[in-house]
Amino acid sequence: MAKILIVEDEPVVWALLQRIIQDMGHEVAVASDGQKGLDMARQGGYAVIVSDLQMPGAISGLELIRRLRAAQPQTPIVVVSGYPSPEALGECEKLGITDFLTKPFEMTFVRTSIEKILKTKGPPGIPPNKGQV
Amino acid sequence: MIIKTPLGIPFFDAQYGGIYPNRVALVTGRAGAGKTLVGLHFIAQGLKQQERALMLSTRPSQDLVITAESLNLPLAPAIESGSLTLLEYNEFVPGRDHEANIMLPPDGFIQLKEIIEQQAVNRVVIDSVLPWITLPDATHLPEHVFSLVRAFERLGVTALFTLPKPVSAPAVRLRKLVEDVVPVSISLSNEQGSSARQMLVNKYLGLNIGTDGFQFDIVMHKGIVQHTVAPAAVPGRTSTPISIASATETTRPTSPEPPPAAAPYPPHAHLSENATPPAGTGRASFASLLLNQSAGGARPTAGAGIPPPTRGGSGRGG
Repeated sequence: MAKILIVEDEPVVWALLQRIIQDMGHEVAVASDGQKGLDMARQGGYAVIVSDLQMPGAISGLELIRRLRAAQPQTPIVVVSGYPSPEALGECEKLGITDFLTKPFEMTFVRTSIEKILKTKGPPGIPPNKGQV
Repeated sequence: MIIKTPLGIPFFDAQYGGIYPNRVALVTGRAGAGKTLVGLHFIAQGLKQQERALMLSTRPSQDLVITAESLNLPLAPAIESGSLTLLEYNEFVPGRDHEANIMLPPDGFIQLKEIIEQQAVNRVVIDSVLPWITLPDATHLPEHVFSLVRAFERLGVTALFTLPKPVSAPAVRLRKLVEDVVPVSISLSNEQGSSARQMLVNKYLGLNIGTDGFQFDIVMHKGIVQHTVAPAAVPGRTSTPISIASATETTRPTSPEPPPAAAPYPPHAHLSENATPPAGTGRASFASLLLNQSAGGARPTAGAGIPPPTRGGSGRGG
């Protein structure tokens, strides 16, 4: 069992993601905006972070990914987003996200995506992050 | 070099080499233009190549089997062996049409995805794709269409979507949204009073498309064949192709196209055939699948080769 962090502001979306991931047998934590996501990620221990791109508040999804990437370069990030702008896509690519799933249909592949990541990473159990996020 | 996969329409394949594998192709046309038949050819071609196939249709499965048989595209053996799955759109689920739920992936898609994955399906026909891309509010339509096409591509299947011919500006926009994200788009037309129909390639990524298109007929025991000029009539013989309307849909009225269904359909999706939810279910929302599944050892009924549906389809295919 791995710990997965979902950062998503739309309740219907995170509820679905949560259901799919919990059905896989993993533990799920949810943050409803970028700041909360950042705070939770700082505590470390997440095998995968699943994040939206567009979120309200001071820290957008893209900014969250930037900060996470700087502090936890090894943590796989799966982006779940609506129609992405070419700029956002390019930025995500530069930041080295692991997968990009579009809402609403493609995000149902989150299970496949996480399975693939965990298979590649080996057994879950990421140590808490010691760096500054 | 990308190796294409045949569409299953010989004259199209001879000119274009088929369609792109693991991508989506779009077929548009009004009711009776031959969209469903293109889908049946596509399925039959896949079965010929030992692929596994799935067709989700607004038509009852038995009708598809009978239609295919009449065109010498036998489906029943493939259904019995489990290499073909026929699914019917079922009723639209009341209560699921709240706007808050619209961005949820329909349970139907998850269900469909599971069937495709479990049965290792290679070819999929969605006839029609309209219920998946109809939203009361068109604001999210582009991302919705984009996501659906990407989802099918991620499934690793070669898919054929059919869409009724658009007859309003918003419906034209809807078709364009789909066309923009698929590599191949074909439109079919049938002129009143003529047995010949036309297939026009609107888009073929990476190739120059001709402007003339193909003239074709739907011929009993042969299916879709390229139109040839009939030789001079010989008394006592006829070489006139048999139209699908007379071959397989003798009960379909041959009167001019009915007007577009206005009522339960959202204003952005006026199309030329009634692929709408059944009357009384309110506005269109996501389609609930399923579905009367015909595959994997289902005991065939006499003649049709598939079990009878418990509920009818929600509209007509083309």
